[in-house]
Amino acid sequence: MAALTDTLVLDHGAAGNLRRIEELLMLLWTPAGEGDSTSVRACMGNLIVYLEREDDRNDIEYIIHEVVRARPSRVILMFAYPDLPDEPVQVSVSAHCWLEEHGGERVCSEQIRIRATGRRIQDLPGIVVPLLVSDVPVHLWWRDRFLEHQDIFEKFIDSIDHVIYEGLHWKKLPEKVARIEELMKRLQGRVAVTNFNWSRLLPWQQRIAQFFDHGLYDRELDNLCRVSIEYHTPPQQTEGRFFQALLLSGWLASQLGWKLRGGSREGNRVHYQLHAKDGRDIRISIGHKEMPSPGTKGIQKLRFEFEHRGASFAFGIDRDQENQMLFLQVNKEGACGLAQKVRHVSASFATLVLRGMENYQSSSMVFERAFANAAAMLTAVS
Amino acid sequence: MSDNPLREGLSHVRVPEPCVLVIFGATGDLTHRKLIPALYHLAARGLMPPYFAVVGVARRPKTTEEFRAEMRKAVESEDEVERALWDRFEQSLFYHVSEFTDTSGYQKLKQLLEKLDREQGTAGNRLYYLATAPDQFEVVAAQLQQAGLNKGGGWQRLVVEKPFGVDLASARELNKKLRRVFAEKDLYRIDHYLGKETVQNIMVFRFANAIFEPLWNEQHIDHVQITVNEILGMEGRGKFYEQVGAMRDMVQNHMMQLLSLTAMEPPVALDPEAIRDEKVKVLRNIRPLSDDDIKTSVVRAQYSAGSLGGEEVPGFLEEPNVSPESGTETFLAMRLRIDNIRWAGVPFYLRHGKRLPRYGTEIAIQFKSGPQVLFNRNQPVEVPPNALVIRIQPDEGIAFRIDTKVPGPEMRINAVKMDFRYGQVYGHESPEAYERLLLDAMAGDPTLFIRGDETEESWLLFDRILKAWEQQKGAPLPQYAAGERGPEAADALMERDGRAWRRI
Ligand SMILES: NC(=O)c1ccc[n+]([C@@H]2O[C@H](COP(=O)([O-])OP(=O)(O)OC[C@H]3O[C@@H](n4cnc5c(N)ncnc54)[C@H](OP(=O)(O)O)[C@@H]3O)[C@@H](O)[C@H]2O)c1
Repeated sequence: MAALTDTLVLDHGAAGNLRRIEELLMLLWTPAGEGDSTSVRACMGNLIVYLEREDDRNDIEYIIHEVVRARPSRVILMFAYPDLPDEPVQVSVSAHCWLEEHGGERVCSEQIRIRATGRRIQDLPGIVVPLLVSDVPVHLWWRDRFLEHQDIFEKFIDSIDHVIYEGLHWKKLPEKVARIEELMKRLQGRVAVTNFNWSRLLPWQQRIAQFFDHGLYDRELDNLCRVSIEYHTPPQQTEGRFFQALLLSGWLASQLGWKLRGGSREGNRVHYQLHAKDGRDIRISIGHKEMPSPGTKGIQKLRFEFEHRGASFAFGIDRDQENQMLFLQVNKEGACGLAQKVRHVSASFATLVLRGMENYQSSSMVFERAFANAAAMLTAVS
Repeated sequence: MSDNPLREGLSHVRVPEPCVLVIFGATGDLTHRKLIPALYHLAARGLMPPYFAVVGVARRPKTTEEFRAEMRKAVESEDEVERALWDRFEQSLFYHVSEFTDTSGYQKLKQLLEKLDREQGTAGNRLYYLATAPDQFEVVAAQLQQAGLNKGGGWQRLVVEKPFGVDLASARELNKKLRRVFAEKDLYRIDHYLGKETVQNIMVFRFANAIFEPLWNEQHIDHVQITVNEILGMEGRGKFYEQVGAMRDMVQNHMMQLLSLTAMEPPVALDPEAIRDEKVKVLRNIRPLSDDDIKTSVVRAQYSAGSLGGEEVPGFLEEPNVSPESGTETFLAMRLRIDNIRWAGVPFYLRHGKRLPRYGTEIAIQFKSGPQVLFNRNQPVEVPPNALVIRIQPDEGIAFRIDTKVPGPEMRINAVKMDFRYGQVYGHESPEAYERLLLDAMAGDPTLFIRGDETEESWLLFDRILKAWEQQKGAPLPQYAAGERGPEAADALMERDGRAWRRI
């Protein structure tokens, strides 16, 4: 098969452009000559990526390679440069290939790159949508400022199952959150929405959920009265990291049926008062430290405090950046055992995309509820 | 376990309750190669209980520190070990030296377990794992009972490795003795085949894909072939293998599991008992083999010297620690019939052997030919029947053979293969079978373990064959040269039915 096809320059408004792209795809699978070993084409879904930054070109190749190895997909990369003058749209086709584990066959996934500038970026949906493989899910990863070009995004809505966006670099948080909330309401039941801020929480959610799995502590959910969350943030991510902590709080509140009563700020901390269904008062407190970049970032420490008939104990999860681990420890009188240590490596972008692709169906409702609570918590202290 | 509201949308892997895993035979091969590496990986992924300990029992004197160091080496020989994680993990490992028959050793074990309950919070829950030779199963179980280790505050379960008996009488006897000590629901008989993803996928494939179930019966299926081919010979296990043979090593257990999963009716629910009930029903419905059937439908043989992969290899009777007069089979092929409405008239062919030219395990569903008349109007055109192949190893996956027209003016039909491979689509490797099985045993889910009645039903069938073979004792077995596809009699078995073995 061919490694990379020539670049095709599309004639604006001309018929036959799509046929020419299809021909490029066919060319990709034509043996390059005698001795060209055959490859297996694998496809579990479509992954469309919207990018605006020139310096992203190389990074994205690595990320996509990692993604498709775990989940072979037709990848369509849209490089959009709205600030450049209008030029004809360019398309090229290539493949990500790898050898199957244990010396099996060569497996390949197709990748289509589309470059559009100026007003031509409006043409992107019309080029991309006909190229989607049918019968398998369509994921759209909006790698750059989500909702900046909402008009383009809107044209994809009828053709996708899932949209993923970042969320860490948000500025003007309340406004951004309100827009996303409005969008999520509109897309509910049609397109799942996840963001990386949420996907990064998964290992924490797993550890918290696991603590309440078995007979020792499952009943303690009814005695949970205080939660504290500590996170570190580089200066340019303060709002995004704060919202991540709110998503975690919002998730606890929605899954455990807590109602928000109010919130307040106090220096570097925010405090929330909530009400459990049984009338218990719950307090959530979130604190942060600004760290220079590069440095530790994200959630560092969680503390859950329980009270029952005057007796209290705590469960904590602490992150050890150096050893890429989480420590899980119970502080309870008479409780025994050592702290548990569990592997915790910062998730790469590829891992985050994969988490989104794998879990979007099962976790989207949970995310929507967590998001709604997080938005309410944000409003309570804004 | 109650419903945990925080589990919604998260993976369903639940962390088991705090417990102690007691491994009898902790200095042995299985513990080194499989059990400890599996436990370490589970711990690193956060799937072990918060309070947890492993106590290794064997008779070789050594300290807990030495045991920990050995186990670390064992894990390192397979994989990279993260120091910080290992340092924590090894603090849960303990060694207890004892002869399996030594009653006082169990009393001391009891004291150790009680101490661990206090210090490690393991709450009286115990999973005893018999990584020992089968003749020790009953000894250890009886001693556990005598020491009162089979009851107490928490739960107590016993994991047993195969073989589960060597014939019907011994299987029944073993079950009887084990059930005296543990209730059937607490007995976990391991068949590591059931821990493999592809084997678990058989049910998903059959019952989640609505297009196959309507075809999964005698109306559409001509026959089924289940094959487990091995290239390897004795590899230093001649003494063990001579006692066992192909039937006990593979066919009576693993292959019958594959057959049950292929042939079973949909269970009423995905709970362990419902699934195992259906599997047992299949075994019960297998038509017993008469003496005549055994002569005509069962073929056994031994490999003789031959050439495999460019290497000259000795025959079975020349292998170290194998008697030159051995009557043990290294190849077994047979035809079985299942007397129920779904499978009436559909033969199930089983084939397993050592020193065969290719390695592979698969289940092949051979469909009946479609009506030929349409294509045969002017001149005879061969229409190959469809075949669906579930490959267990290597290249786990599913392939479907369908007919297509060869391009050109004339009507020529060619079979092509649609092939799905796990490795191509799911990039990450499947977890080790032992990880899954250990986790299930700790969590109290016996779905992937064999129930006592399954082993007995299977032995009921194979016992007749053993008895018939007993009468032919002393007669030399047919031979097949290493590297060949098996004995001629196996081909003849198929030819008589107008069929042929698949080349795999
Ligand atoms: N190895 C595998 O990969 C594998 C795979 C599937 C199933 N299995 C099954 O697993 C079981 C164990 O196999 P294995 O290969 O691990 O066996 P192994 O290497 O021979 O180990 C036997 C273990 O039992 C201990 N032992 C033997 N007699 C004892 C006694 N009287 N008192 C105390 N300890 C005693 C030995 O300890 P000392 O050395 O201290 O005496 C050793 O730790 C067998 O039933 C086998 O069929 C094994």
